Amino acid sequence: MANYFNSLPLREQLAQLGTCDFMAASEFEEGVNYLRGKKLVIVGCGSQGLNQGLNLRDSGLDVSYTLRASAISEKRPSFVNATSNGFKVGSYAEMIPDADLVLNLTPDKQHSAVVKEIEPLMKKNACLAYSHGFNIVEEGQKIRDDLTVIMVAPKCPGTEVREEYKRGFGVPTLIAVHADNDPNGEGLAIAKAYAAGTGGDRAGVLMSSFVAEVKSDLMGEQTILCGMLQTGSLLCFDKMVAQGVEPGYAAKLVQYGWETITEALKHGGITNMMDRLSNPAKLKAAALSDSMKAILRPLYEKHMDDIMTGRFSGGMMDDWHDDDVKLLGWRHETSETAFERESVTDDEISEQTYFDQGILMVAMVKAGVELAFETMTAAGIKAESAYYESLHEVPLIANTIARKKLFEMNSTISDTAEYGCYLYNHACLPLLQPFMEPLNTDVIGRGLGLNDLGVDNQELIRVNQEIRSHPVEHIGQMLRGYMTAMKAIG
Amino acid sequence: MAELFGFDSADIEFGSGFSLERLDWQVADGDKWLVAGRNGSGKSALLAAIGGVGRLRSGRINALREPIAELSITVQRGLAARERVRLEGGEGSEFENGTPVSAILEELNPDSDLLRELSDRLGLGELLAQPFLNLSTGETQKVLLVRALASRHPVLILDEPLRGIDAASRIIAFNCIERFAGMRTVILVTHEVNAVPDWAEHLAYLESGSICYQGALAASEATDWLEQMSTLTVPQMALPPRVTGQASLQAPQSPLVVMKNVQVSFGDLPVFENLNWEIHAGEHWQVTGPNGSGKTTLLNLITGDSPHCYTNDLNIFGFQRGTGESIWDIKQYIGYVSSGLHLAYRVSASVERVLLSGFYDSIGLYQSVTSEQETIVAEWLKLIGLEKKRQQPFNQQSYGNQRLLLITRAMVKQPALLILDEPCLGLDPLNRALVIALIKQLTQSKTTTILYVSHDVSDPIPGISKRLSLPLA
Repeated sequence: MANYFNSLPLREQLAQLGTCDFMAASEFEEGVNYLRGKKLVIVGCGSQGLNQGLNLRDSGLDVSYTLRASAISEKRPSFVNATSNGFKVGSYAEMIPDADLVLNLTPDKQHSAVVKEIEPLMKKNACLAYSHGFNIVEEGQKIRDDLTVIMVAPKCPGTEVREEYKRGFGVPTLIAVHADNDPNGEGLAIAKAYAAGTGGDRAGVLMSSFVAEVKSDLMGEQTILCGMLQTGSLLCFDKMVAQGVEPGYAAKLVQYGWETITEALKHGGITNMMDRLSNPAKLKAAALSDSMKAILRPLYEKHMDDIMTGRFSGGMMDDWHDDDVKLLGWRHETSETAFERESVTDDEISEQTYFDQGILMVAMVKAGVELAFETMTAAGIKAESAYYESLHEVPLIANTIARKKLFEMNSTISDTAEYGCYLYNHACLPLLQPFMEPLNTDVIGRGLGLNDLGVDNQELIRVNQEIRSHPVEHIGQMLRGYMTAMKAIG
Repeated sequence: MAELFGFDSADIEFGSGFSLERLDWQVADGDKWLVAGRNGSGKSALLAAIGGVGRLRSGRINALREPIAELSITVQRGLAARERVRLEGGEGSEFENGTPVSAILEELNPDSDLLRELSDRLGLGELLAQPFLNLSTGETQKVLLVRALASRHPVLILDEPLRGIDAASRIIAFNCIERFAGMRTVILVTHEVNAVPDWAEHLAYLESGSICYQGALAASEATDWLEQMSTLTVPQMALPPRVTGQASLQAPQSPLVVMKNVQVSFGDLPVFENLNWEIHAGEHWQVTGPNGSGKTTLLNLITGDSPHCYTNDLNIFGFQRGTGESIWDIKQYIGYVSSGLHLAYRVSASVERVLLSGFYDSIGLYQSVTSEQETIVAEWLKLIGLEKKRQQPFNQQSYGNQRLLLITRAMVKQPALLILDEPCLGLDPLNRALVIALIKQLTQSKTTTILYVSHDVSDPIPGISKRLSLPLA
């Protein structure tokens, strides 16, 4: 198999990268009707598989599962997940031939093997769905010509997909139809009904492409999302401890700090996050962010370039074939870091304190979000995609760190994201080392401690202008506007 | 006895905006205190302050330095939240089953003989290997009780220790508490003025964030305060109107519920075998049964929240389950409240919007509302005496007031089927009387059929005549 994206002519590459449009709620008036009475068979019953299936069934669709024969005979957790929830489970040979829609919700790494086994069993003109397009785009899997291939990608972990549905809402979702596999022109209708069945239509759906989803997803997760938060956690913690901040306190400030400061991001973008700082702290954070952006821009560009050329996925697939040596080594290394091993203090830290004492963390989020967004859009990815894969997802990843630090983050994200995070962290740590050297606890751990909060008017106007006029703020304001029209917060 | 902890003219502010004011209270080693007061008077805040939560604005605190064993909603929520985190497997990873009861118990004291003895007495013996989150409301309470009592911590905080515990176990639980209270310092919070143990010595009575009485529990003044809590009368009232023009106002088909030969089991534990049940419009039911008899599971079959509704022969409001209907088709006819819903209602929204969400069966509000719905909600808020809280955040209300609001949320649309699963847990006597009076009104309304669930067989609800009694599975 050859990388699909690389096989496309430039105009097609650009067209597919540049696909991402917010869909009007009226496009989903038919709900799940297109799939009513059809047979949906889900391959795999992990977090996405189980939770999407529960939603689809509660929306009135006919859902069952198929698992590898060994998972069934050994009653593995995936088998127990499905059967204890009252789903019918069978082998590929039993379930696939009758399926109208097969949802491949196994991990990326298993995709090519799974597809190779199920494809010959699928009936003519059936549909194969993914929730992440890595297999199609990076591995270049060719799917039989009579089959429709679509993607419905909820932009949240599976448990969140379920919880939001039960609340009567949903999670933002990207959908796409694979241009090479839409023989009957029904791909979009199926994808829309599938998205409605998971509740995604209530939170907002974006029409994307396999290419745009994969390239932006990879870029976001390895740079700002997991990469920056991991590298930032380690740097901030080590800095504080070296400067005499009590380690339990430093660990707490980092563990819960990301969640607290990015909550502000969720409500009002970088602008609101920066507005939570005092004026002198805001100027400080803006300056730190500028320095980091200058240092890190080449790294972000390298990640984007490697993703576009397929060098990244090639390297990762080599590691797959090498029994995940690099990935597993990295996972172990992370678990051994001082931050990860420190237990946090019981002392209360107030919400505002996380901002006041976490100026450097705010700066890291700003630098990472803006850089990832700038790099993605410069590479031809549309602002909408870039927004969802950078700013929008930061609070979701920050939540996982708040739960159980980096261990939780790395076990929640996909192996693909974790591998990308590994590459980023190794390159980013040494790059930021000289930048970190002169910093003090005024920007991380203790706060500025100023009695006089005065600042220069012109300087403040310039910085505010710069924050507010960044393109991620423009698109963010618009997309958050669409979302709140649907979801009233508070 | 030496002072163990105390407050001197302390004003303490909490993140929620609530504050305790002019707090003068000293607790000596070995004291046995009863803390009482109406919903929202500050009982939980006082317990939190003992644990060191809150910001001291003025006055002085002599902080407690000993470890606390606590049984409260706060502890339960904390454990449940921790379990949810453990259960949330990552992308592509498989779920674990969750922490078993035995491990939860051993966290405060690993003495397995003692734990086994207490568990057996409260009928938990069979459940020790079960995942903690699988337990029913009453079973969870028993586990937390055993966990707190068996600990060796010198300070015991028991916030409504008998909440949700079935009739058969109440006496046993009561005796266990007495035995383990012993020489320890105990802070007991309860609304059940009829069930105050003999060993309690002192009363601290709270009103609007201040202790307005403290002294010997035997004193006649103490009795007066406690009686005041339960003898206020419920005023005459009329229900607000139903909304006009909502699809769910069309009466669904009767029978509302038909269950045929229902079979449910958890793992190897059978819960129901060949259960047959019909609910007809206008027939009000009370479902009773001991903790763990499957009351909540039965309700979840009706509401669609149990996966077993797809593996059984159920007809709900004329929908044969599993034939293409969605859970929202079902829920539009239902108003529902339970401890599970209370735990799940974790979104930030104002009191008013929580009530409005009752029109859409959602947790949080995601649709635009009509002015008629707003008017109706305002009337309900007035009826329950919380109109001043309209714009305040729901999650900063006291537990009792949250519960009262969620009961009202279930009632606002005056649904075809109103399901109340142990609704009154955590309500003070007056609010409980208010809820019972509302239920009585609804039974006379002709539009709403009521399904009231309680572990307590000796708790008849006026207007409800049909009984379903579930045996222990």
